[in-house]
Amino acid sequence: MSKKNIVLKSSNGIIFEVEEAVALQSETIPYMIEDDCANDTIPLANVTGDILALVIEYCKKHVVVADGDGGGSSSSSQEDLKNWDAQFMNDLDQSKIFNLLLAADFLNIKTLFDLTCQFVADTMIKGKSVEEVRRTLNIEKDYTSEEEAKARQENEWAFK
Amino acid sequence: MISSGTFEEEISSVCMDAKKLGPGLRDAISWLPQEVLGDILSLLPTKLAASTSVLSKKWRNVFALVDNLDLDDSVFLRPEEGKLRREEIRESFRSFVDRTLALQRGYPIKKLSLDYCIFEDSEMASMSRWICNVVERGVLEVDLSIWTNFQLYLPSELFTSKTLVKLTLGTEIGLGKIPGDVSLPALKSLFINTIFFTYGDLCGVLLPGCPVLEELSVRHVEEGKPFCISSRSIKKLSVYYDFEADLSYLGGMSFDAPNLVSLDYRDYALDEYPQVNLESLVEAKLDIHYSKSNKRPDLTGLITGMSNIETLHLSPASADVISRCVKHGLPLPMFNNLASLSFGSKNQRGWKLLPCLLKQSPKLETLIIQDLNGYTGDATIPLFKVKMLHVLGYGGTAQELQHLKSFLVGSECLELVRVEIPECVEVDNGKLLQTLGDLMAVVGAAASKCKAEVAD
Repeated sequence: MSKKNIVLKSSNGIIFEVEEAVALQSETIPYMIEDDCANDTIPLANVTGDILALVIEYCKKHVVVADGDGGGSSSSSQEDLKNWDAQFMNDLDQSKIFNLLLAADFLNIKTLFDLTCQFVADTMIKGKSVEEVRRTLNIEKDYTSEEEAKARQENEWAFK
Repeated sequence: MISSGTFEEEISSVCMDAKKLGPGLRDAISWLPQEVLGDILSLLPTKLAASTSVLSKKWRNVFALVDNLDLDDSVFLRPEEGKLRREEIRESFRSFVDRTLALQRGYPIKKLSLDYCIFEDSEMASMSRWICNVVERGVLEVDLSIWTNFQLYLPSELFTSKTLVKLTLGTEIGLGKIPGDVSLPALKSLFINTIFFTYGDLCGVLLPGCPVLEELSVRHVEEGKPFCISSRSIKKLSVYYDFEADLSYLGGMSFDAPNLVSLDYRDYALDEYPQVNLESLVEAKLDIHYSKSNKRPDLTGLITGMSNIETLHLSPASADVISRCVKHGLPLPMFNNLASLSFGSKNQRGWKLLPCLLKQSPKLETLIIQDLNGYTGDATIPLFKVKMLHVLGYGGTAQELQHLKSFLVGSECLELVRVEIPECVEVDNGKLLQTLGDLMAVVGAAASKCKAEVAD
């Protein structure tokens, strides 16, 4: 049986052709197919080509192999996947990570969204002081000292 | 290679009002939609999430968008703070929770974890208010670790939640009478850690109100454990009792769970098991210990009630105590469906049980020996129909090989002998080959068609 392919088009016009099972990890794409919003090509106006390439790389790795003895993935390959995920995230720079997060949200790929959120929480916020978080994420402090003191006062317990 | 839009285009397509700063100075995160920021902060303890409120004006109330409240007020773990200071921290904790819940208004919430000490009535009232708040918002999971010397009264709303899927209650608390009209139609998992129920509340009030409960875990490490588990729906049960006191006054333990598939039971051997209704049981793991304060336990009810099982795991302590009971007249039932047995023993008494078990298990195909080193060699073990012999923790010593050899006598059906070298033992390829060679010599001599395997 020949496998059905789906054609995706990024916001900057890059075309990707992927197997249906890979694309269907996105819960958004099936609706776009049903809506038949473009007979063959599905345009993704919110996702640029380099980010879409990453999304597809992730989905290809995580596609559940339905053929074989139908057993899904074994525990050892679960372990492999976890290691692969960690490496995948580690190789990305910060702007790619946040754009990937948005793409996963828009395309509704839950495992990729969760993975990215967890990575951001663990590496950019956890274990850091307020000042370190500001530096890591280039957040401009727009509070005056009085305003900041007031904000601290509001959630006093968080700073104890 | 794939070309891409510029960074600026990517940003502006999502957030038109992103501040135009030079590359490298751009705020990396604040342009994300607030709900996405809420999802990220939901993965952190709420205390840490709330500390983002001082990052910048935009972040002031973002933390209130979390759908997972993970609140830990373990001030009692901070003895370095003086009493007054601790009072102050507890007060600020309470106003923090009240304020956060007020900010969240009616937003849906997934989970509440609350680590909380109660010293005063007003603190109990606060806790009740918070629980009612999340129940009203359709919470799926509640995990309460309460520390108090009072009898704890949980609000009736918690016991009539239509949405609650998982409930964890701990620890070492006396629970006041549970309201009679428990109705938890969505509850699938219940974890109880050392809760002292009012008499009859667990089996008579709480469990009957959970019609789709699948997984139950009851842990108790003090006196006053529940002596009966009764549920028509549970499939998986873990009972972990670790309290050795004067057991002589205790009647026993009953299990009435006709749909239970998997049981993990740790306890001291008791006087009796008056009612054991486990007709659907497929697998069981027993870790039952002999206690000097109960010299003549009687496991008849338990062992007979489990005779339908297919997979059984016996710890060394269990083998010892069951063997004691057999000596004092426990009739071992036929295990007509038993296909896989994992057996551990550290003494002669325990090893004596294995041949008896094998004799009662006509369909046994897989035998797992947890450790050969304890083998005393004076019990002849006929392997009958066993096809797979699996030895864990194999060090490859001459003594172990000798033990293995005596195991293999009269094992016509054996197809595979597999030994596993534990992680703590260093092996190189030479050692591995040597072990396999030794093994094949012994196995080949006993059963010509049998294969041998070494795993490290």
